[in-house]
Amino acid sequence: MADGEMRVDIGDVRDTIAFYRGFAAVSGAVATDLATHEFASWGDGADGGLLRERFSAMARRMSENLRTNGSDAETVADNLDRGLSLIETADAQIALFWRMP
Amino acid sequence: MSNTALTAMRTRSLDSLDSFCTLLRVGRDCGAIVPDKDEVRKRYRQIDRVNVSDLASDAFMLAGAHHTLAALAVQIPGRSVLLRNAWTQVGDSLGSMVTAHGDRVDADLIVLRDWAEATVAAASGIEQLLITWYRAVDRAGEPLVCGVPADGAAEAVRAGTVSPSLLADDISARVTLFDTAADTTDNGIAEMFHVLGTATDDLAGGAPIAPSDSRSGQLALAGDE
Repeated sequence: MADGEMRVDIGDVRDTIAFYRGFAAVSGAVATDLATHEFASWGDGADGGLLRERFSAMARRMSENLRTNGSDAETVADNLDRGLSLIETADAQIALFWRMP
Repeated sequence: MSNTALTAMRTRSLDSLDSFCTLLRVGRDCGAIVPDKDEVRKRYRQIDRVNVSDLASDAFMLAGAHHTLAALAVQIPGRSVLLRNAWTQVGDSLGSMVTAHGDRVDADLIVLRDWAEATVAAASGIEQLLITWYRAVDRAGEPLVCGVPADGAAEAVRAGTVSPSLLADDISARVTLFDTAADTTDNGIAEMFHVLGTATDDLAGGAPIAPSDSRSGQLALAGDE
């Protein structure tokens, strides 16, 4: 590829965008599942109580992490989408320009 | 074992517990040294405090979450390469973002996997302990003692069908079985909780291959809020 030449496989980039959007949806759904599940409802007493508190805190933190991961995946997809749109818009404008007499 | 089967075992063992308590009275009448039935029921309740199906539900939830995300995460490195090949001039910032995202997902998956495995192991271990416990209670509460039903034991002694000492020995042996099984189960459950606690200690306080970006991959809990 020559210097300054740009080559983009639109199909592969679109596939990647779809993958990251799918990842974002799944990660968000799992985050919700973890946040809404009642963890450590299986025990009482000192040992169970301690683990209940810990499991709840871990679930809350993991849910937040997964939500962040999903949000980041959505951002990756948005950025790629925006980049492709810019290329496609520029391409259309150049084509229009060359048709002019 | 299915949840329904374990529930059925528990229900049957409660009947056996009632029967065992009846036998205690017979044993006492025959001169055996037996515990008070309230004490026996208290021991049963102590073991019964753990709802293993809820623990299994936690394990199922965590293992499912890990499985679902891992199936997607395994594609991330390939997607990253595909993207760089498909768009050779993709910006460094976007490339770094993709890499950092993959690293954070991996770190969280390690925590999720270890947490799920520890919980699955605890659920499985406690279930095995309870199965053994319920069977022991069934044996202790077997309604025929020396071949006669508990309710008919006094009559059998009077009729000379069975000796009081034989009844006392049989019931004493059942008390020993119950006590030993209760101790083993109680200690076993405590050990399972201890192991689960230790495993989650590591997950909560450690930094399992966490990336430098502190937003993810760690589950530090103590004083981190």
